[in-house]
Amino acid sequence: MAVQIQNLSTFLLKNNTGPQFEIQPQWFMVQRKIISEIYPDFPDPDTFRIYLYLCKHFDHSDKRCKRSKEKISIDLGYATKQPGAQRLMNYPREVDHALAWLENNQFIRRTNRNNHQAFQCEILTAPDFVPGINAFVQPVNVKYDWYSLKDNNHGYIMAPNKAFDDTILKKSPSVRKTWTDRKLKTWLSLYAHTWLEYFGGVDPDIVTIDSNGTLVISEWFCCNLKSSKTQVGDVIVWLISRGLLKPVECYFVRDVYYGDAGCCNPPAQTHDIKIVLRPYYLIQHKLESVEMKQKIGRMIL
Amino acid sequence: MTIMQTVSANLGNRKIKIQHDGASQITIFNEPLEEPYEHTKRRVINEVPLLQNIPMMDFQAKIAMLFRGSLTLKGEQLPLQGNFEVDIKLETSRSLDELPLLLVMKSVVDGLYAVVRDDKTICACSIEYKNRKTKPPLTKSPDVLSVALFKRTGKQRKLVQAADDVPIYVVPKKEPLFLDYENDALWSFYVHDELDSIYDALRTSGMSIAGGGPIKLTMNFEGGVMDKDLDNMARVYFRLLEKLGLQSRDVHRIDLAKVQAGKDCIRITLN
Repeated sequence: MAVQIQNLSTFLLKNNTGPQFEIQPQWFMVQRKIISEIYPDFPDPDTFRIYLYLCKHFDHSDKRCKRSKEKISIDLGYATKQPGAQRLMNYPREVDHALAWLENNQFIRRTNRNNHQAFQCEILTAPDFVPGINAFVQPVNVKYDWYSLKDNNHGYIMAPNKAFDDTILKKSPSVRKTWTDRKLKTWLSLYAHTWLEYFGGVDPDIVTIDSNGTLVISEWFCCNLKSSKTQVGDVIVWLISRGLLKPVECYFVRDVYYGDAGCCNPPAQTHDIKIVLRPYYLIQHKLESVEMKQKIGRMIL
Repeated sequence: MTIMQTVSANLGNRKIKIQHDGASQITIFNEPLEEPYEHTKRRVINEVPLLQNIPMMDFQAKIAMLFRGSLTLKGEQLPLQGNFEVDIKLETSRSLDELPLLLVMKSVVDGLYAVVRDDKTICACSIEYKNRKTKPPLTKSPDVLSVALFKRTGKQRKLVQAADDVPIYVVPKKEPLFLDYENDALWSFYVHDELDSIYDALRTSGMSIAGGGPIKLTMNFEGGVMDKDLDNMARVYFRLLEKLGLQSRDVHRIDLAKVQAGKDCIRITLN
């Protein structure tokens, strides 16, 4: 069933009336592979969120995520330190289980030398999954860095840190009810298709809004999320209603973004007008790229 | 009995011989042409801003994963050395309009990049389409794909690895998006020109392909072809067949093979 955007005109970005987007210098990487119809989901919501948290706090320069179990537990709301206490008395079971699962299945490698040293880890190239025997296998000769992943067609998502603030990964029932697994996965996957220089936001072949206000969502995208079009549509409507995705009317020449209709004259060449969803949090260096030089002035930001 | 007609086509300052039966068989006595690689065409691909289709890249990464994972478990060192054959079966509730078989084949074979040393080591490839009458649940893939990789030794082949009945959303090969199309999208005029001459010779001598299917298409490439890509050669001659009336949606099976031989030729059969 088609999902309709009610009162589209109220959400549609018209022109520059003050800053409309938050431009973030910090971003992190998550491999696209973990969200797919042939890759198993993480065993529970805790493991998924703790993995995202580790990816977000991974330091590529020294190949370490230096977040102790105590820090993870407190940041994600699994535990609070008693007033006056030096440290947590026990680590929450969920955190221990999640880290053990990630380590056993080769998503991370523990780098603290012994149990007396605080937990720290390295993020590994996400393992391959062999469906026949239900096993994860670490790929050989593919390092967890941008160049090696790209050269070996292990695609990755670049997401602004602030779009995945620790607060949305927290354990509390109200946060989990608001930010379900499907919402987190959809939100993350939309960033995989956000190419400002080519689309001005999310690729309209993945999701767009037609002139009747109906969401048009790619079947492939939904299948990749193991969800129906209605389920993904509901999440996208919710993201729009929260201001996390902003519909913008854009000019396209030969399927490539030219500029925002509210911010520039139509191009001289034959062109189309499409409604593009632009994430509220944008990555600064993406806007400052050579390819964006001509386009940034034609963009509502 | 099939009556074969012999005609000739002018390619620049030389003449080539073509035989055909007017409906379903063509033999072109010439060096097989191939669609040039992007990086060969432009030489400086890394300097040209282009974006590959992400769903296609994802699909190919999934194909690679299915093979890489199993082969790594077996202790095989990748990429595999030798010559190979690939058999593909696609069962789907989607139509062939959405899934042109040659482009699906190309996408799967490209997915095997880094599993086999080079696309050129694939010397035979087949793909078969089967329509599923029942639609899967809304959250599941409408496609089920099976891919088998065989190692070729002489005329024998031995199964190396297979991914059977995988419920994966299939994405055919798509062209990249150019940031500056006018300046960066390059075309191979030489291939187009030769193909036009062959088409003219076939058309004027009465060769035409009737609509309707299902059609099984066989293309064999012979000559000094071992360093040419099978699917890139097939794309050239598939275009020729389309000009002669073939509709991609009617082709339910494709068999491609290349073989080293003293004389160059392309043998095409539609059954």
